[in-house]
Amino acid sequence: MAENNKPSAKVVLIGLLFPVILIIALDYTINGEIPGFGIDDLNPRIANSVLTSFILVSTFLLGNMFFYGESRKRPLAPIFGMIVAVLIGLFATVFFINQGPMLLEGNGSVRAQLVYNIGHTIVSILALTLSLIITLGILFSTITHSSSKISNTSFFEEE
Amino acid sequence: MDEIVEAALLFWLPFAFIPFGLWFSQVKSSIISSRIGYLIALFGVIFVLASPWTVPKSPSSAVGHLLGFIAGPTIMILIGLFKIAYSGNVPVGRLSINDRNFGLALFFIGIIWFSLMHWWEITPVMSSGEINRYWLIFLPNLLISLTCLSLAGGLAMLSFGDSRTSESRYLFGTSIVSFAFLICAMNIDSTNIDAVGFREYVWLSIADLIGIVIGSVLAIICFASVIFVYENTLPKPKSIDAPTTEELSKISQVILDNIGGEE
Repeated sequence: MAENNKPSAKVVLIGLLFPVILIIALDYTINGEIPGFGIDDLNPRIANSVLTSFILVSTFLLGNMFFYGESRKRPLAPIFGMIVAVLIGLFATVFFINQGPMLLEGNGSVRAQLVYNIGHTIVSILALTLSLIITLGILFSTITHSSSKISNTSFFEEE
Repeated sequence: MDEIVEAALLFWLPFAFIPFGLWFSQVKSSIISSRIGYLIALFGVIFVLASPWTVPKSPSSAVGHLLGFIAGPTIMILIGLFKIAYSGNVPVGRLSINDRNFGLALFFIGIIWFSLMHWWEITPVMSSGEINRYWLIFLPNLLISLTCLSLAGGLAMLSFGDSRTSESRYLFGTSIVSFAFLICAMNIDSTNIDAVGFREYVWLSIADLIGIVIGSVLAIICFASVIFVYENTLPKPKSIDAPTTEELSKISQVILDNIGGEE
């Protein structure tokens, strides 16, 4: 009976997104629009974030590719493939930022925007990592401090 | 020295030393290499934390400034959680009740410290008098991701665990507290930032998190595609011939010699 009341894995995934939707809905309902702030400010942030995180995560995966390639007879081939992916990301970033003020979030030059993007993404990833560690720490602490789920009565019943 | 070269040498190069040092420290074959790796990483951390003094004019130093400000509460929270977790029912190396109480104190002081950095005078402010803009990225991102992850963690405990209702309440509580903090900060002015300004950063943080997820997924797809293509180009391994009758009889004899036993 208890098994039927358990939330499914889909509910866990919805739990990841639900607070974001709730924050947007609540803020929009209580305060309305932010003066002088709209979708034109959000789009460059999403685009810059996508491009920068693609390069940073690809670079991290490139390190893993080194160990993968080591276990194969032609270790340079997959590493070469991943370097191409990182370079495509880098060129795409420079290309899109060069298209004009579209992706320049108040920064004067492409170089300044690139450096800002890297700093911005590192700080965001730090915040994400810290929140993940806090969640896992609380989870682990509650599990180690809970009473044992194995009771003596169940052993006696089995006997 | 040129400002850009200064920033590259005194900030970004030491910053790159941190992951490189940690990677190098994982060399298990040599203890000296491992220690050199940790030293390189430590050297990088010191230079990054010192960047507000070494490259004060560079905008990049704001990252080092932020790291210096959040280092204290972060270390307290992490040590606190470690002490709480290992003072529970763990099979080896269990800590005492005093350690648990000390861990609880560290954890709550760390959380209060973070809260006061928003609400009180101890907000990270640059020498120019402006709030460190990376702090305004860090705090909303931390609160939003903590709300989402702890809610998903609590639901995961109910979904995948057995009789974990009471334990999941702590995670739901964390999610509610961080959500309430976020909503309060979006509606009440703090000492250094007004509610409207904070709302903008929250919306930008949501855009940021969406971008990070999309970018990371694209990178993982790219990584998987490279491996998939590479594996497909590898020649098929040569199949060996089937065993002959003579080989089969020899194997049967070996098996016969090794199984069975006295009754």
